[in-house]
Amino acid sequence: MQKAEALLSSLGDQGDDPIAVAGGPRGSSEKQLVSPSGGQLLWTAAVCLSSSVGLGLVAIADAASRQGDGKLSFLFWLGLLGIFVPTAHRSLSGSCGRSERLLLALMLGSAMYLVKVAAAPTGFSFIDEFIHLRTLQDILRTHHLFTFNPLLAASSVYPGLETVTSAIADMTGLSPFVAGLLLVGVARLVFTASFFYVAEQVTGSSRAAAGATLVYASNPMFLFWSAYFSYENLALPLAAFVVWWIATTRRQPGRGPLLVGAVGVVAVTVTHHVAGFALAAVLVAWWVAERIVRGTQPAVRRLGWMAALSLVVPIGWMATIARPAIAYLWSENIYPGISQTVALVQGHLAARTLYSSAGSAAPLWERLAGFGGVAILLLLLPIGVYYAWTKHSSRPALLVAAGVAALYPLSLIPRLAPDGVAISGRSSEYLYAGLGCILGMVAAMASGPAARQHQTRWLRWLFRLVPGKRRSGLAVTAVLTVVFLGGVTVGTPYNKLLPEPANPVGYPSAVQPDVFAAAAWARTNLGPGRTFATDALDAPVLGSFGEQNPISENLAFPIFFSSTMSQAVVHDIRSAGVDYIFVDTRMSLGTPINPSYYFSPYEPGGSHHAHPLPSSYWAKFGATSCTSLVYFAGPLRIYDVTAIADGLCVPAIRAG
Amino acid sequence: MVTRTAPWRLAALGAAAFLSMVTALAAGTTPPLPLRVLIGLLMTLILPGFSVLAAAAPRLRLKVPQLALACVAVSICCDLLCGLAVGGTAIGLTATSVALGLSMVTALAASIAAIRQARASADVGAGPHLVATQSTPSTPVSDLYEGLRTGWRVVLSICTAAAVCTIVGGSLLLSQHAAVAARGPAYLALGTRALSPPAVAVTVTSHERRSVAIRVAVLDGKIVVGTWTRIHLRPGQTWTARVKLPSPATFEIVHTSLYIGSSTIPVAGTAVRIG
Repeated sequence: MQKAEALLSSLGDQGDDPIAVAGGPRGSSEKQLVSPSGGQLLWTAAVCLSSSVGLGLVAIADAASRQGDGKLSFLFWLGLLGIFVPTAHRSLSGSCGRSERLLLALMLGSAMYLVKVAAAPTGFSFIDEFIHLRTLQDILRTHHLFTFNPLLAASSVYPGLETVTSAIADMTGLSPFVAGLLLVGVARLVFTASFFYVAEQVTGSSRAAAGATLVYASNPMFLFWSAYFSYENLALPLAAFVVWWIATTRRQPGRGPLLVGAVGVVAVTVTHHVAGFALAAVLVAWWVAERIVRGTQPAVRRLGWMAALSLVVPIGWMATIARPAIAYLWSENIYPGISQTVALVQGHLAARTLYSSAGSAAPLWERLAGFGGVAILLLLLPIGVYYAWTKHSSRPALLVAAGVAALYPLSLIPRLAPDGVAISGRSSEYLYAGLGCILGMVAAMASGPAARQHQTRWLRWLFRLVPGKRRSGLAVTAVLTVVFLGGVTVGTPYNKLLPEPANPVGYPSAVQPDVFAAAAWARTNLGPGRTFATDALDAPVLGSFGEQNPISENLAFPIFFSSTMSQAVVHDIRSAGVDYIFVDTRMSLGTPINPSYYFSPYEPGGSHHAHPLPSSYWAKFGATSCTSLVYFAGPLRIYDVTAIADGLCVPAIRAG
Repeated sequence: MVTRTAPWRLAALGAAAFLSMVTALAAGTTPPLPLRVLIGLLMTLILPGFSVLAAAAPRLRLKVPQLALACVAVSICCDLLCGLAVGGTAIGLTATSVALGLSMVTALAASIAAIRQARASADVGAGPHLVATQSTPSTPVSDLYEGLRTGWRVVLSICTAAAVCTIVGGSLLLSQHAAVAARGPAYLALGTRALSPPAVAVTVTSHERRSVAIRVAVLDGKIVVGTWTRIHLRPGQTWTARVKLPSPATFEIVHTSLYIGSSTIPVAGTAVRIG
């Protein structure tokens, strides 16, 4: 074991700072923290410059894409490489100091956040952002929490993100968009720093922590999804902070540190459901591992108290305040995903075609990068888990990380089921934390000289396959780059990486500017809170910018999918209490690509529309005297159907 | 082991308490935007966390990056809990209530931190004032710095005074805020009257200056026709809305309601006969 500890400590070279599992610094890197050498500053400046150039290239690619020029899309990938590759190479280098590695990790995290900002610099533009914007607007308008959100009921009962954004907007006078952008950006920094420190405490090496950060940055959701104005993107950083705080302070005397940890647990709970339960799972697993290894030391007891609190608070919140989230999580996400995955495993369901949407497929190299990245992770995972297992008696936290990482292969199976993509994709944000720690350790070993003297024969043989001293860093960087590129291609459909041009040919896959104008018109002229039936793409904009109440997508499609005002259509309008029909006639110009349905995955034709919808589907609304066209601009129409909904007027019923 | 508080931490605690007092006093006013952004960001993302950390874990010595991380994260938690406390109650989450709440938390925590630091210094008999002085040439800046080093009692006084002022003043203002909210919507509907052709005129006046969305809806079991508008009513100002009814009117009794946010306000004289 002493040999193992010595080897672990030798992972970092001159700049490394081994850290005890839950204590303070064991080595001393204060000198580096205070006065980095000129060479280090030069490297940091060079990496910073490279990241800036990379961001510039991404911004150029975004601008070209908005103009409809797809030829410059290669600049996007070039920019991402400019951000990732120098950072990876430098932070795994033996001459890189601890504080420099932390700085590089923060630069990587913030640069990748700015990639998302460059894609939508003037306003929220992603579906989830509209959902949370609605909750934020409700808070700013009513000054109270828990107002029902028709776009996602769970959002209003987990109002942490919107509450803090509202506080920042109120205190600073900034717009909700800028306040939200600022908060998520700060949260990204909090997450990156917390994760780096946690990984450093778990692995005992700042080089391994840098590797862990690089692997985590390769998770499919990190580039775009984790940068959205969405509740999980505040909860996850706070959860990472709570873990770091407990690890750092559980040996401190007094109740003050425990109180701060408890406040953090409550904050995570109030912000996001899954993050709250994930934090509880990690703390309980960590406590169990510590209890087995270290017995009943006071620090372990303190950890136990925090674990118990983190378990009780989310359950209590969900049982009392956040009941709508139970149906959302179980009925709409977990159960369909699990049942389809089971059907897939049993052979009752055909596997989804990966990298394909509505008949079009991603470029070959993107598919290769995706499969290659996953293959590398699956290949290296057993090595990392084996390595962690040999250390388990002294590092319980490492054992927990290995346990989390070992779930990664299982998380890939639901990805093959149509309804399992969400579970598989979103679980990566949690599983990559463990995976990052384990593979970060492997990356640090492979890029350092210690690997060649490993006491395990087969590991020693494996690491000697990596070319010589200087080139080993390049080889590890190359492998991590493939994993990173693969993660980006897995997490975001190829046609969503760059902004869509205004007025695209066919049915758009992003909300068009004229829809924002129509939503603003509806808010001003119809007043907020009117019930609308519309398509899945435009509903979030009507619900947020227009402050209207779109009906459920599964209630909306029966109203549209008929060429005549049949009895069923009239019944659906009345039963849903629809006031207005919002029609985007672009539905007759092309088939939907992403999402691959117009209203709902359960609509006729489902996710495999071969032809656009016929215009007769909305012509029927103008053919009856019971409706009135109140808005008409280009392809957009708003029909007033309140007379039908109120029963004041009955249209001539025709067979559907 | 003797633990001493770095002078800059004491100075920061005093500054946090002072700034929170200023914020509480200025709550409800609209300072210039750059100043508001600066103070707003400090009061939402840094100072509450810094004060709470200093109060909760006075002996914890974190490195600067770790301290910065903890300050920001704990500040966000404070914002959230403060927002929950005011937004989930009758007080309401407004610029004033948030500013008061955060100021109170910051000042109280800074005061507790200063007391605990003073106690710790007294316990070990070596307050910051006993740190050996370097023999450097005296300058105004170094004199000021030395003053801070030796002046932890001044910091304690500032923190305590700020905490008392902020908490007393803030509590009074928040209770006033809550009382206004508890007595119901701050708008008084003066009445409705029927018009010909079928329509309803609604007149509203306010006894509190506030910008809100108001909905005037004509009800007959369910909403038949309604109109929304955003207005900014000054105290005593009157606002009138004219709501046309569908023609021909098929109902005799029309109820008119005002909605402010999620609250429904009954309007005086809601029964109107349409001729």
